Amino acid sequence: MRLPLGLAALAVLAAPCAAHGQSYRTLVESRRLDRKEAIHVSVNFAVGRFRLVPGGKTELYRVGLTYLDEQFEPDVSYEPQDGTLRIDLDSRHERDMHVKDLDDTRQRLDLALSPEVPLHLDLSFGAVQAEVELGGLTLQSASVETGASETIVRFSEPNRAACDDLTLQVGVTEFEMIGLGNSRCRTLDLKGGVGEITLDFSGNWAPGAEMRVSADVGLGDVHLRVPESVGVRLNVDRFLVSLQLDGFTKRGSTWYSAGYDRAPVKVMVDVNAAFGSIEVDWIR
Amino acid sequence: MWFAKATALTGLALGMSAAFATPAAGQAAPVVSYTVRSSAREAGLGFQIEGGATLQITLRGGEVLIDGARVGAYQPGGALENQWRQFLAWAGSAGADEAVAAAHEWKPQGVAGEEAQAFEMIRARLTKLVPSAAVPAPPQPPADADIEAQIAAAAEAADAARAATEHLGRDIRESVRQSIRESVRDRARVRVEPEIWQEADGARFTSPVGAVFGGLLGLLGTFVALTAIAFGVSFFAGRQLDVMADTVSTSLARSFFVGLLAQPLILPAFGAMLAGLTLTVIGILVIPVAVVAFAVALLAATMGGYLAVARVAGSVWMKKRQGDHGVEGFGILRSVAYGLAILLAVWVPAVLLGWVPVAGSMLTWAAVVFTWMLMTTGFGAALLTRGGVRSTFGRRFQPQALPPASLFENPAPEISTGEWLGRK
Repeated sequence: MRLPLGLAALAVLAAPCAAHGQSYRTLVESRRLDRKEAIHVSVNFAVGRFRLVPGGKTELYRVGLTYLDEQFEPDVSYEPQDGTLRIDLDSRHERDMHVKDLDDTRQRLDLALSPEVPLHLDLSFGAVQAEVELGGLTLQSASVETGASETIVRFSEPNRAACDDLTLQVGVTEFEMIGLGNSRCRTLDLKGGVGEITLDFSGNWAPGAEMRVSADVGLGDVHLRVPESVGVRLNVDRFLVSLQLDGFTKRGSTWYSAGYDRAPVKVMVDVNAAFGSIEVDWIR
Repeated sequence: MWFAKATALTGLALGMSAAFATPAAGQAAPVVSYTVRSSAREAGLGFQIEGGATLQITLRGGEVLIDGARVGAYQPGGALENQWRQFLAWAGSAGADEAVAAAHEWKPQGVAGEEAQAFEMIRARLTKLVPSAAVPAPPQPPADADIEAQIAAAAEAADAARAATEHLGRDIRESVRQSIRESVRDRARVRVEPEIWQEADGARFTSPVGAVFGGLLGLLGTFVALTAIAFGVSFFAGRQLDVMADTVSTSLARSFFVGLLAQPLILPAFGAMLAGLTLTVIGILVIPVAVVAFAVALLAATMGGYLAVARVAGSVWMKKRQGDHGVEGFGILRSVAYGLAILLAVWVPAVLLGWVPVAGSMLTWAAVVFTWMLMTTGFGAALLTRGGVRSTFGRRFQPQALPPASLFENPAPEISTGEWLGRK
């Protein structure tokens, strides 16, 4: 929590010095925790680095945004009636521009959200390097849509609420989701484009927990990292896709991990893939 | 700089205890959120108060604005602005209530004259702000000696955070990152910062070097690709290419207008073909093949026609340089290569000067129109010759001219029998 705060503070302090070559602008917005009902958070971030972390106990949210002044237009708004926080950073110009290298931009968005209120999260990225920590929040549903991005989503701590569904729509991407055992989500719906997708099912699973995963993947590799204590059932509809399924046996058209029937936690995966590979690694 | 910051922060912190200890929650609605905006040109702090009221204080361009109205002036880069920015930096890391309490006690050092008056206007509004009832315990005032260390620690923490983010990126395989970035460059509809911005005296311009170099490389690649295609065509359909080139050469205007008139008919012809196949019922089965065949034929006619035009252009050039012997044997391929170089050369001005406003666009459009005309002519020639099969519109057959008379042995002049006998 203190990390983004410090960054935001230094960003504000450094703003006058940042006008070397490109003119950056900073915006920090904070709202005190004044509700217990659920909030809906929608983020649309075109370009740059993004980080989301659980916030402090007295703040509903904190936004720290550094952006190119003349190229982008920020819109940060909160509707207290329905508890909707909307953060948009879009281009001022209609014309498309080219990115030379994401490393060249200092544009970034830091977002801290209260762990105290139920949360519905909707993230949409363009060309973004994103690091999203959802562990410790009270997450009820989440949707992540990425363009050409490198995204890591973590559940380092257990989710404080049961999560109905987790929807991922990834484009040309390197996408990694770590600690799904902490997510407490019942369903995970993944639509992948081109790239490498890693789903890590480690974490503190509730006894008897079940998760249904539906993955529709185009050109790319899907890595599933699964603790040995978790039973996996895998249905694969594939075209020119290689399978690496160590420790699985096939019954009919379905693959089952060893001891699936007796496993205290079950993950049911349905994959529809073309041109790529599906690999299951066991975490020992 | 550090001393001024330390002084400001100390004053800020010293006054916080009283502010937090005596919240005026009962007198007015408390602040629910605040916003800090900062750039090279302005520095502003806004509060939203429960019930919807707002307070916006901004220092911009030498003017102090409260809720958009000018209330005073300040010296850009002077004491008031510097300490206001330091205050905003602190407020940016605080909660709403902490920010309100700090605002009550904010007092810049060393301001005088107009700046002092402006500060009083700001102070008058800030002190009316009320924190919420649930005020957290204030942070302990830092000792003077610790301030620099704390600032340094904060800077280190920020650096560590940035390093962690960069480390995260390095963990990802470089090959995938590269492919992602290429994808962004090539096809992303993502709106990003412009290519290479340089700033000079406040004016901005885009460096054209990268675009020009890329354009020239693109032209070179196009030339190589078309030459390779021409190489294949000259081997497998050399005669057809010759017939089309002859047609372009002898029926240039006819080829152009046939191509021009045929273009609007492409889609109707395609539709008619599909309709005809559908009506025959059995033909439905071959529709996928027919679609592909139609596309291939269209592409072949356009490409072959363009190469034929290139061959004509190259032949003219070679004849000027080498006479009639220039188009024999491998000279045919060479003439196509010369021709392609000539045809693609119309793009060179557009590539070199494309970054110039107005003129660049005009040159680009000129190259597009010229290329379209050439392709239309080639397409027309391909249609007239049925893909190089029919030579009706090509040059007429002309029998070889008789060799010059000097190469013949002249018959001996007739002589009389008497003369002949006399020689004997």
